[in-house]
Amino acid sequence: MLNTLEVVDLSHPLFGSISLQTDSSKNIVIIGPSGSGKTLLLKCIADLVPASGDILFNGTSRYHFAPANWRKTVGFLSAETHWWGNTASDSIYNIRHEDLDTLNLKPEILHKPITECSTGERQRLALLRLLQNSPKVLLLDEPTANLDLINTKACEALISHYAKQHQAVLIWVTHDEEQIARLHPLVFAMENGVLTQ
Amino acid sequence: MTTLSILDLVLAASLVVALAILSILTNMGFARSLLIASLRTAIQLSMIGLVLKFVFENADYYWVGLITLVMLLLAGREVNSRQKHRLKGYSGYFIGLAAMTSSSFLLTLLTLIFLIQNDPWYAPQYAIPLLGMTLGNAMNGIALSLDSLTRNAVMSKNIIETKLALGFTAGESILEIKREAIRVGLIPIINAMVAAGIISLPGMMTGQILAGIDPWEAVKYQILIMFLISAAAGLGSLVAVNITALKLFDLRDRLRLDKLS
Repeated sequence: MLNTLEVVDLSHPLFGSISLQTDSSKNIVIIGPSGSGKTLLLKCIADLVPASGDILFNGTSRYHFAPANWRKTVGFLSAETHWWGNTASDSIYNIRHEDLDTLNLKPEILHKPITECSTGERQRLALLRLLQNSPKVLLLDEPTANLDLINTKACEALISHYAKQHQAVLIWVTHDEEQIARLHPLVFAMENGVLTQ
Repeated sequence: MTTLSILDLVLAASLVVALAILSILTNMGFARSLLIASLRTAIQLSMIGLVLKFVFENADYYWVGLITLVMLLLAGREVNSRQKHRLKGYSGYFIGLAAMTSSSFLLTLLTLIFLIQNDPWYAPQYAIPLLGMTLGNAMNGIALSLDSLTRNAVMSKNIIETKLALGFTAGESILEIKREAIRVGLIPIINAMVAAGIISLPGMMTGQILAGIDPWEAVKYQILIMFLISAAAGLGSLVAVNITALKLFDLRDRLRLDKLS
């Protein structure tokens, strides 16, 4: 069965009323200039930033979920990654080694001081950290911005595979036109706080 | 006991003035704040001396109650004003007040009633100095704790939000910062207890010994005070940090740093 996500009249002082309906059979990409509110929109959908209006997952309002459960279901991945503890293993505890392999990462990286990991390694680790909650919606804010083409494609493959396996709803923010061509998505544009298809 | 004359105090003041002159000569820039602080000490202590003299002569519960109330209100205000990022509106003030009342006031009350057991238990010679000492120390501890809490919450905003995005509750996402805040609040009193008697002679004990009290009696009181103020500072910090941490989030567990000034 398809999972569905519905955004109903979502409003924030920095963007107008936004409505959007999608499900796990689709792939949505949001494009738009920097500062147009794309990241903010994703954060509002993850209920990390207050916004009026409602968001429903499989017809159930976010208000019927405990906040932490909503965010485990609707997972948000920020463009910049942030870490606590000394190594990635302090926040990653439940991942499959095949997934590390898919992302061209060695298991030892989990125990390497996080400050010594490259930006690209941290970005791939953050994707794995998000997926360990098995979210049903993935809000991905430029998840491959710091990666070379090989690793970008590896991430895309992992995300597509995950989405199929978990019937996950996908919303990406990206500036990469080649990536958009590879994802075959429905493209929405965000400009001056207005979202148009 | 040898009493001090005004001339003795003037001579002591000349030390501070000499230091201020030295500051001006060496262009160190602390003369002004040093002189203002010294003047405030002299005026504030003289005034409290007059008030205490009056209250000791009229040992009625309502005078003691009134002074207690004024001390609590001022301490609540002081806690709030010492923070870099404080909660907007009056909530910071009320949290300071609640933390002081539930720690310093309550513990001093229990100490007076069950440990010192004077008749009447609110005798101002005991009640006011004890409350003053617990309030002063708890105020310090609470102010340091809250400053650490809000400062680190602002600094670690991205980490807290990442944890929230990964399904941590508000409480889980700020736990480390709360722990650190309480540790910071307890540093002064723990340092004071560790150094007591070896490196430093605590002020109250020194005062009692100078006033001619048997050193052993002074030591017993000092130990009581040390325990009382560490409990008050710890309890006060716990209360203040937990309430403030709750206030940093909204009902949907969203980090709301916009509530800070």
